[in-house]
Amino acid sequence: MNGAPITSCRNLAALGLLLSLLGLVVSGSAQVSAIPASLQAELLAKLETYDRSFQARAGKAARVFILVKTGSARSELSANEMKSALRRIEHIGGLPHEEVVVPYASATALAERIRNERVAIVFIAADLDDAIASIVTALTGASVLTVGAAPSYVARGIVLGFELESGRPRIVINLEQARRQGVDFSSNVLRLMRVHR
Amino acid sequence: MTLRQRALVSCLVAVCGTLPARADEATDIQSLLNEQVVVTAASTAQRESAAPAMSTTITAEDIQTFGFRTIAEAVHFLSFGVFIGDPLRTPDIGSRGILFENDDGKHFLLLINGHAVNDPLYGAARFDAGAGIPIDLVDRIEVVLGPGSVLYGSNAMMGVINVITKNAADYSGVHAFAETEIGRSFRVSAGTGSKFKLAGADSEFTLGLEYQHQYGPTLEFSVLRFPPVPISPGRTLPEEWGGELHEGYFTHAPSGHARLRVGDFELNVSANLYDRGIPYASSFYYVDFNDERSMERDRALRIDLRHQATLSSLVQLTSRAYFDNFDYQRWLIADAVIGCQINSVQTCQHYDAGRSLWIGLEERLTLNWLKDQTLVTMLGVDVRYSDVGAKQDQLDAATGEPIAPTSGLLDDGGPSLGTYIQQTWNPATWLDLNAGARVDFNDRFSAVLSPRGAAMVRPFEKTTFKAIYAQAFRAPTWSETDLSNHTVAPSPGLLPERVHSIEASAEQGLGTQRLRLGAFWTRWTDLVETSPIPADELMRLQEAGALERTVGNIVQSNNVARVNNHGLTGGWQGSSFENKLRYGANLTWAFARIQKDGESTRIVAAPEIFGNAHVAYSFGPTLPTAALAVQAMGERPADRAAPNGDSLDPAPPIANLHLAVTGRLPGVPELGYILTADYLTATHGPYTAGPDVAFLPSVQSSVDMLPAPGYAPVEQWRIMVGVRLDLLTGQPTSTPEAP
Repeated sequence: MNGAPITSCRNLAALGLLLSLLGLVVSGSAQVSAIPASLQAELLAKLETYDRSFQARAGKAARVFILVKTGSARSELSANEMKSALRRIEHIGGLPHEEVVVPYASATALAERIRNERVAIVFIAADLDDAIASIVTALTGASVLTVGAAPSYVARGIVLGFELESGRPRIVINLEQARRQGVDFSSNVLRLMRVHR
Repeated sequence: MTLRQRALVSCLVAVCGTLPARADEATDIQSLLNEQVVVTAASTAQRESAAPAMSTTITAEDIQTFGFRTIAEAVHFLSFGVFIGDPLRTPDIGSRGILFENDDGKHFLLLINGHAVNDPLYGAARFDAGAGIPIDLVDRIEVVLGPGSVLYGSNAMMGVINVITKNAADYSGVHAFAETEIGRSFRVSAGTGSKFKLAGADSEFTLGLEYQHQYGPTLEFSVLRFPPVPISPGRTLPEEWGGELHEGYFTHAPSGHARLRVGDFELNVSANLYDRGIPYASSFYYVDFNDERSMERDRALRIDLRHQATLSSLVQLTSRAYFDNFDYQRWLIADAVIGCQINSVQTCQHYDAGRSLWIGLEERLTLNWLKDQTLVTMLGVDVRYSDVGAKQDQLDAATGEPIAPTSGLLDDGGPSLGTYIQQTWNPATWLDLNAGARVDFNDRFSAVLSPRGAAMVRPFEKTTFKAIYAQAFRAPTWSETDLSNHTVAPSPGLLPERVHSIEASAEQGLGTQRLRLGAFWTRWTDLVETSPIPADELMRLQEAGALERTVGNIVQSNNVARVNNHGLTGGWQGSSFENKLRYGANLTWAFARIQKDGESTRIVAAPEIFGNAHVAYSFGPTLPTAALAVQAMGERPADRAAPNGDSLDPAPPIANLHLAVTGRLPGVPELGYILTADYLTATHGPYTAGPDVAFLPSVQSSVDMLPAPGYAPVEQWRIMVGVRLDLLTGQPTSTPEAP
């Protein structure tokens, strides 16, 4: 072919400018779920109607702990969104409910409060990556459903999470941990979940 | 109840999946899982029912099930309110009864992971293999209808198409794909995705590479016989044009896209090359018949780096730096008098080259007033610098030597600024409000305001009403305002095209079914058309030195047209049998009239009624999935008239049938297969073929003797087979044992 494209040395200068931005310091934690909190809350409320141990665990009203990392804006934002979304829902698993935002102090203290205050669900807000392992260990054997703000928490032992696949929500469950924490979803909904074994 | 009535009720039970008998099958959960989350309409993740636009999301599963090869195919068969015209080059994309022929995608904004692709020199975006995104890497395509400039600026007049690539979690392992239409075309792709820790942060990397190659099939064009009209001393019009085309219909399109996410940083890099033939002469291309040297080439490199910082539970800051380099080349081989308006050689090569480079920085502040996303203000500023260049050469096709000085030289650039604000408010679970505006500043035209206001009301759990008002614009491209050569005059005073839109929609969920109806009214003003300029204006430009050598008619772009458009649209989609059966249908009726020079006419190549339908059934994890999609359009006016001004017959209604069978080999789940077949019910569309020579001064007195153009044929049949290999995917199972 004849002719050649015209070029510009400005291209290289502009490319260099952009690439220099890559030198910025990297930081961050697990990606929070891209699913709007209102949809996560609705899913959670409906899922609990298929949790055969939920009513026994919750009693007359479901107590929901929203675990937050003090001083983390991302954690507070994630906790606030879920709290607000849950408060707009009348029933969780057919029961009235109340939400309590709990600053994370230690896994043992959390486990003790859960047992003492008959907590049915614990939502673990963003930026608590470092505490997941301790929380999972401390809650093994407790009857409580743990739900992670980040779907990657599920692989690390949190029972339930929500992830976005092709623009649709998908429920992820750690089935082994669910059994350890006495969470017993019916096979009808398990069929709809992605199971992390 | 008669047997027939009982059968009907049974059918409704099976299809709707909402009756009490099926309540134990968790249809309420399935219904929520079917709900679409969209990010494009308001540039934030939200439920589709809360989004300030009507939209369609085409998923990776849809693309794989139907074996779609390009964005254009997927949109054509599955999208709501959008259709594709195929002139056998890069396709035209239209919406709601409006399509601009040879538009290069100027009126739809294409985003790849939120990064705008349309270039400033031509405004072009490709939706076929030239989109530059390996289709296997696509997680979803969000098609947002209606004006979208409020957040994205220029080009979002018909809507915004955002192609979102897969996360590493959905693309883990190594993937390879190959398919072929034996002897004609093939597509190969490979990709990988992985998650890892980098600098202590959760990180992931995805990469997709693809090569699409197509050569043929042989197409039969009408033979046009021209009278021996002199067109220059010693030369007459070519005797005939047309016949069997073997050489000029081809595509070569390698592309690659990589995404690296480290903590709050995300880097997207994509690059592609897109060669395609210009298989026939039209009113835009003067090419000899059956010459594969007539072709176009795009090359693009795009880099986008973004960072999201949560400064407090009230304030989030998103920063984005981007760089794009796009260049375009075109080679046209034609009779020298017709193609280059030079008679010193027999055959000339007309060579065009254009490049665009743009670099920018976007800062967006999100103020979450109640700290729970129910009252959010988004403020943004997008600063960009564009640099463009172009030139045109005319060469002797036999020797490659120049036969005229380089013309159409353009080397220009300048800054632009877009500032926007969007306020969203979700005061109650049943109400979402969205209002915003963007102002674009550019020293090439006056500031443009693009407002939008929308209310989304949900009086019942699964019922949504939307009312939306929006405006959008398209900045005049540098090629429209500044290009000047021996046939084109510059148009420095060109105004941006504008569109105003009002639409309303109602959506009803019914278990896993979703029914929606909409009505729209749009008014397009200051549309740019290129047409011959009057003699007095020609003289003025020549005296002012704004024109180079001039031969015959000179054309110029002007804001001369407007379009009145309104219509109705409806869609239904759903799933049954635990999502094994998926189906949907969309239908649009649109009235669209283009007005110019006191006349109101239908828009060429655009249908007044069009729609699509699809159904797919998965027989099981080890059994095939069968899928059928149909796209149909009513008659479309031909894209030009006969040389004497007589109208040509419109293109007949057409249906495009697409069948796909996909599956995994039993016992070898890593290996998949696909068979697709396409059939078009008509032999041609509205695009006409044959050189348009009526503009030649020497032919003016003989136009009645010139043959009417024929219609460009379409590729009626295509059958492809392919194999897929997915290794090391590590996907957890989704079919647990009952506890």
